[in-house]
Amino acid sequence: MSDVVEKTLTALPSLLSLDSQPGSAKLSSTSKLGNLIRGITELTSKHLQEEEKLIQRELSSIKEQVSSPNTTMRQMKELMVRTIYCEMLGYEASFSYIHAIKLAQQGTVLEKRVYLAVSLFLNESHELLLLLVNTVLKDLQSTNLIEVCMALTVVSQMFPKDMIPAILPLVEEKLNHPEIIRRKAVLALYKFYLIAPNQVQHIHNKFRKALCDKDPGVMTASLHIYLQLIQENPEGYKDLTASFVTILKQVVGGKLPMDFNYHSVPAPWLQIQLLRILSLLGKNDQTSEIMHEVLDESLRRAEMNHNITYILYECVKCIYTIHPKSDLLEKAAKCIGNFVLSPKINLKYLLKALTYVVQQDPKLALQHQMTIIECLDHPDLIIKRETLELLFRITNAQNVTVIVEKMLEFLRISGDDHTTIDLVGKVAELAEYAPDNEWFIETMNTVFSVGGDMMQPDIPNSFLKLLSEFDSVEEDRKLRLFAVNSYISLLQGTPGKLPQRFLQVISWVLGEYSHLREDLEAAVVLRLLARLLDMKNCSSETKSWVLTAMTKLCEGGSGVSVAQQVSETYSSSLDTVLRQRAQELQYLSQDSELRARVLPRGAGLEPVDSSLSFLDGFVSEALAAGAAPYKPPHQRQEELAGTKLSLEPYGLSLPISMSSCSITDRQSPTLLSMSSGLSGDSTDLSHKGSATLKLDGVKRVWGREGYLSQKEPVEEPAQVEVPSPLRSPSQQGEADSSHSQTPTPTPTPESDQEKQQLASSLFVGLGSQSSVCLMGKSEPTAQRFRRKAKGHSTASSPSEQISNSVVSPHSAVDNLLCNNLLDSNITSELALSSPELTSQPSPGLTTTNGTCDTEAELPDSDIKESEPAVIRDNSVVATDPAPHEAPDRPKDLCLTSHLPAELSGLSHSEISHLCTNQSLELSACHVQKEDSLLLVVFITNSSDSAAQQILVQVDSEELERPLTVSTEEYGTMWLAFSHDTKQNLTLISDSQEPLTATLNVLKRKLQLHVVEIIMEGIVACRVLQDQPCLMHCRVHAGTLAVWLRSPIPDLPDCLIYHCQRALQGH
Amino acid sequence: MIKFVLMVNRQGQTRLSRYYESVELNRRAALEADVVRCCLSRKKDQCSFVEYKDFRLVYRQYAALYIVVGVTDSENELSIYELVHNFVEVLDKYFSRVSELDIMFNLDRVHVILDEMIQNGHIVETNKSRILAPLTAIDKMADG
Repeated sequence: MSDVVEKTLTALPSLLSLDSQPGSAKLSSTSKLGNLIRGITELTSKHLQEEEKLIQRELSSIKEQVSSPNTTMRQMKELMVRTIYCEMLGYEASFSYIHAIKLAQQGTVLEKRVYLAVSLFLNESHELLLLLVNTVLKDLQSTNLIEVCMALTVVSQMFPKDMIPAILPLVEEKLNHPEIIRRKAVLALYKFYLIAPNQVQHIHNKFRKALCDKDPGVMTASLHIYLQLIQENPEGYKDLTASFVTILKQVVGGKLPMDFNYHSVPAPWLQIQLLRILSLLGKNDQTSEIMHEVLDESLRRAEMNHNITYILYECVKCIYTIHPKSDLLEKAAKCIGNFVLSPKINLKYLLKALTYVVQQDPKLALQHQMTIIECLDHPDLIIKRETLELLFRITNAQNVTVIVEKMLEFLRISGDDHTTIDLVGKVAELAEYAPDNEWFIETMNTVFSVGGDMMQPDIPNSFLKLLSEFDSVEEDRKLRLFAVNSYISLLQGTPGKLPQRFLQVISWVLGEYSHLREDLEAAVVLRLLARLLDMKNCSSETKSWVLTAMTKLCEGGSGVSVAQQVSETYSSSLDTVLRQRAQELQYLSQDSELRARVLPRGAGLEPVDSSLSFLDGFVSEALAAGAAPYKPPHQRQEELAGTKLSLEPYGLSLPISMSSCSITDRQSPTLLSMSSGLSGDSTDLSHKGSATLKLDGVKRVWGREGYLSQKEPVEEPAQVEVPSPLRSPSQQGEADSSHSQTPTPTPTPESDQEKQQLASSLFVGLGSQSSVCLMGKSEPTAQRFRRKAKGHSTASSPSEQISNSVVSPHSAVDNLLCNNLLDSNITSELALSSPELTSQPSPGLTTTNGTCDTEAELPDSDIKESEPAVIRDNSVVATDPAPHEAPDRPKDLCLTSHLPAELSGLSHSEISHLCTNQSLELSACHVQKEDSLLLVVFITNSSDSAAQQILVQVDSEELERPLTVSTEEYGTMWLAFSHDTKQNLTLISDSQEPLTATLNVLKRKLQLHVVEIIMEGIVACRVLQDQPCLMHCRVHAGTLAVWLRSPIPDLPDCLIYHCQRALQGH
Repeated sequence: MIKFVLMVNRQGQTRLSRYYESVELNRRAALEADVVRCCLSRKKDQCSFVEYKDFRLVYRQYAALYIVVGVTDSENELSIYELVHNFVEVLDKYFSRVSELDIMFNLDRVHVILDEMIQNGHIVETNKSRILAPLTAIDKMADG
């Protein structure tokens, strides 16, 4: 398979010198390209300068030749390839761009391949691209298919936006050409849509036509356009949902030509594309239930074939995006769980899909807890990272300490900036679930010191806001005091290592709250703060925060002298802001009365007039005097942009940095920056990433009333069975005994003890609804995962199902069962054609798509819809696709009216009773269809209770018959069949002849015919009416390697599934 | 979305590069070196996906040659992993047992193949015979 590139570099020099190597015709090592490549290869990576010299030499030689008039087109093409090579190595060759365009213009078809060079050299905004328009125009009108093809390829990669109208009619006209052109034309239109959607607004009907194209390639191309369109406006394309479902059904069912298969999977990337479209369409849409069937089918296939997990991923994602259907959700979750357990490392990555699962229903995480734990400890960082992502979504007040601890652990080992920013934001968000003050402050300390100056500016802002908004007197005092204590000890250590943002937070908190600690003299704090000013790496922004804090603190005694000293130093600073602060400090430290007025203690709580209404008088006066009305910055920018002046570089400096909040009064900087945000309308600057703290919609543990848990009695009787959340990581050991609460799959040796313990602390609070939340009011916080209220109706239905009567048709009418199965709509129709009358194998079989267990199942919902009418009526007719239509009428009056509509016109035999007991009546009749005989079974509920579900199971095993062929016949058939599947099955190893034993089991259980057993290779086969399936088995490494072939696409898959089951059951 | 496709050998020499988002020429070399270092440092038992800056790398090794694809967060990494293999199979079909040399000496052809498969960072064709159709047509013309 991957026997590619076996000739390694070591062999390269010898290969290049020996021209006689087979296959070297294409290599032409004597060419200049050959020389170049050889030159580069001989250099080792150590000699960068040599490489540069070599390339420069090459480039100047190219330069000389391209401008020479004697260079032929053919040589020119070769030169272009060499230039591509040089550019690929990072050496610019802009001189050649114009020549590439010239070549595309003048060359013959053969040289035109350099269209490619053009698309490699130029980017979409390059001015030379305009020169290409003419060439493209000419080529589009060419009669040569290849020329048209190449022109369309280049158009679909890059084209100047303004020139689209010039070629649009030509491209549109190409939509009537052969499929290869048609496909490329659609892709060109896709490009046009991407760069200038309004230019192609009028041809949306052509997109539809492309979607309905009979060529699958053209249809696939049009999906790109639709994905884009639907992304922008899902509402506008709901009418296409059914079409996409049908397309996907056909693709999954193997209706595409064979060459679209990839490793015998039908067009996997097309499936993925369709699933993406469906999930966009089905999002928050009740009508998405038409997708369920095909999604179910996809899932089933993924379960059987381990090589299509990439489709499974998309499928699960889709199932969890669209309007939920509980059994599908469960199936998807189970399926994903199995694959994540796989030892194959890449399958572990499906963990990412599990993230969608737990987001919908955190309880499902419980089933996979040991898997998650295993992934969390995985040495591969990316797996770990995905696991953390998953845990982030299931965090609640009870497991927050452990999850945050894990995140911080990861932060310490990963050095990547992007990861740090992302994770720090998440930790800060989770910190709001904090179990206690101490933990909260400590966690935020870590956030600030690890996140440093990279993190989102909102994090410190929100933190300070939280701190200042507290007003439950006792609690907030404790919290603030704790913060002060913790910061003092940090400053007494080595504050030089702390990031600037953290220092700013520290100085604000100390300035505002250090008075809470009574044993602490203001002078001590002042000295600590003054030390910060002397640090080399202290930015002037931080300095101004520090100075402001000092201004708040300088009160009498020795404090004043420190303040004086500092203010003297900085009052001559070149930085005007610092200078102003220093002046303020100086004056206010001398005049304590004024200071008390300017900076009243505890003013952080006072609301700021964010509308700046006190300025209203001033504004109206100014307006009356003829001043221009205020415009928010973005509006000003728009207006400027309108005059074609790009101001982009300046746009970036607009965010209001913390330094711009002048804190002359005792206000929380957050409030201040918010107010300036409101008036200056900088809302577009905030809430950029996920890392920002969205405080608005979130109900916090930390609320106005203080730390909420304190309001709940901590000891509740029901709590006994709930393991207490770990207070701090160091106390993890204490939870040891509590792990019994979470169900664990295996009895474990001691080494696993730790994992189990971790599991119990991670997944606490996810279990049943009865689990009591320690945090009391914090429970609603967990609800922000938007757990779908899947209602108790679904929860209770399984128990009801137990009492349902399950009717198996083969018991009563076994002899009527036959070889053929028409089942495309089997879900509610029991239609079996009789063997005697069907001369043709039913065409329906191909649409069966290997549905092995066909279940005629009346969906729960149907029954529910039918409501009391049916319950009183007592007749639910399984044959009728819409049982709830059964009106109120005596049960024995007329079963005929329940015949499916499509059969009602046909002649049918008398309806005869088969059997009756107190709850069910079974009747049947024949319907004569043109090509088959249908047996219709009526099931009548004669009891008083409503039938919740009637399950009729027709196993395809029943339809299998042995096919007796000779070895020779087998051989010819084998070659003729195109659909195959290979898989390893377990071998029954308890006998001397494991192969024979295994085959005998299969033979007995599945009605196979064993043709011959030669040595280890053996052949067996079987048939479904006229539809054979051949099977080849051999023993390989202790397993049974099975190879199935059949002319019917899904039969091998179906059969392998049965073999698996048969052997499992043995 | 796919950001770029790279073919690099174990020595870190670039054999093919295609960007679907414009990256300045002088920044490419540094990016490529970094990306290769990232992939080479991975062990066999680690998975074929790496987080790199704000996007992901999907890589696959064929003898001494690495194929690395940079994708955005929203892409399905597993499907890209298979796409890489499909690409190699197409090359294998065209060159009949493709080697690193084939790729080096037929850079333009490999680009044509890649352009048939991926455009604007999206997968546009995966059907092997259709991918190769335009290229074989040109080759036929050159021969005849």
